[in-house]
Parts: sequence; structure tokens; C-alpha cells
Amino acid sequence: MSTVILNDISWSSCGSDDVFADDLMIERSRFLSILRRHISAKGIERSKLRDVLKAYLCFSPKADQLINDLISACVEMKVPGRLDAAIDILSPLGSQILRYARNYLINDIRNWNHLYPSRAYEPNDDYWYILLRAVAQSKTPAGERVKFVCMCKTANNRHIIEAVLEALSDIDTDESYAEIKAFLGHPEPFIADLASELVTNR
Amino acid sequence: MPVTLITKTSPVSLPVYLRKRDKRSHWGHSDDHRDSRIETAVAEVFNPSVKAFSLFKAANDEELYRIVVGLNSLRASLSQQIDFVAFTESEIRSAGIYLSVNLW
Repeated sequence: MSTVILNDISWSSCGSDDVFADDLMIERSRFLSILRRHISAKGIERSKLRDVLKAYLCFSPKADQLINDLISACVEMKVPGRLDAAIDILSPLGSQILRYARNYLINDIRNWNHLYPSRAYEPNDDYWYILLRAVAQSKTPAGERVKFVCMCKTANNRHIIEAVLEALSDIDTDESYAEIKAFLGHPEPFIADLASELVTNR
Repeated sequence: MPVTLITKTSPVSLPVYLRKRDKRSHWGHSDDHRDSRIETAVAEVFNPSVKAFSLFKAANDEELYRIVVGLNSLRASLSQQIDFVAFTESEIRSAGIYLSVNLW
């Protein structure tokens, strides 16, 4: 207990904001370094590094920042499997990734929905592909996952609709497939064919 | 629904060389404008800055299943869906691509 008190005094007496900022920078740097090793690792080492990354995301006080860093880094990497790697790390977070995604969507709607709808779903399609499929594969109630994913189903963007359909397929309930069937008559052939293929392959 | 190499690639002759796609839209759709489709596919599937690409050779269903299990063995679930685009050997050679074998 005495250690905790001494630490509290030291934080308040030497510019705690700076110390926290430095700690966060170090933590982010370590996290991204482990992520890069994870992407290029094989076999057991890859699984171990994925567990380390999940531990960071579960216990860091700045987990939301790390989630954003992880998705952004995987989008930028341009190596095969980067999207799947991000989804596999994020989906076990369960309610944590659902909460992050909801807040992210709320901010996006707040920023763009009314005045600049063409700029919605920033920063890019791959970011939302990871986010939607990570939520869809999480172990949260299926109804909540369908509800969240369907909030994006009116997007005027092929890539976001693709992510919505793949996510609904991941959820794999009668309710989610009823939503997919609504896209069978979509005017864009890519979307209609994707919906048809998902329904056929169930 | 079980996937078979014959139903997915028919009437293309076997073996085929499979390239994994991160997203289905990276390969576009037959209704897309050809130039934009090629541009996307080159950028996302065959990025010119990459010097070598992994292709998986499959001549029958068993080889296809081995590829799927092998790729999913590093993932959170062995039953994850994987999207491939398939090429014949003559298509690869006509594109001037040199094939080398690297066994797992």
C-alpha cells in the first residue's frame, strides 16, 4: 500500500501529464512493433504474439487508441492476410470491440452524415471492413451484432455494403440471413451476386 | 455446402493456381469497367512493389482442402471462409510469370 501512496505523490509532483504521454508513446511503439512481428511470424510464434497483442488491448488504459493504431497499421501494410489478422485479434475482445465500433460509428455520423455524406465511413473502406467483421465474429449477443452491422447497410458505397454482407454472413443467424436476402435484388451486380452466393453457400 | 475444386473451376482444366484475396471486391466484377477493374486488382492482389507472390497449386479436392486448412491453421478458427482467384498454368505463363516450387 505504501508503494501506491509514494507513486501517487511522484505522479502529482513531476508533471504527470507528460509522464502519461510518454508512457502512451512507449506503449504504442511497443504494440506496433509486436504487431509487425505478428504479421510476418509463422506457426506457434504467430499465435503467441496474437495473445500478447490481445493482452495489450484488454489491459491498457488507452486500449481504444491501440485498437485504432492496430486497424490503421493493418490497412496500411499492404501485405496479404493483413485484414484477417486484424479481425482475428479484435474479435475476441467481445463487448469491448462492439463498444469501440459503436462510438466510432457515432463519431462518423456526427461528423459527416448530414452535411458531407459522401465523406462518411472515414478513414477508408478497409478500416470499416475490419471493424464490421470483427464485431460480427465477436462473442456478443447476435441481435446486438446484427443491429450494429445493419446501421451501415444504407451506405452508398460498394465496399461498405460488401463488409456489411460478409459481416451478416459471419453472424450466421436466420435474422442476419434475412437481412442478406434483402440485397438479392440490389441494383449493383457485384452486391446482388455476393448476396446470392452467401445465401447459396449457407 | 461443401466446396469442390471441380464445381468451382469448371470447365477450366486442372491443376489451377490459387491466389488468396483479402476481400472479394479486390478482384472486381465482370460488369465493372475493365480498366478500373485491372487497376484495383493490380494494386490489391498483385501489387507491383512486391517481388514474389504465393500461389497454391491444386489438382484435386484433397489438395484444395489442405490449402484451406493450412491457411486457416494460423487463424482464430479453422472454418474461416477463404476467397481465392484461380489461374491455369497457361494463363500464368502467358502473363510472363515464372513459377518456382516452395513446398510447405
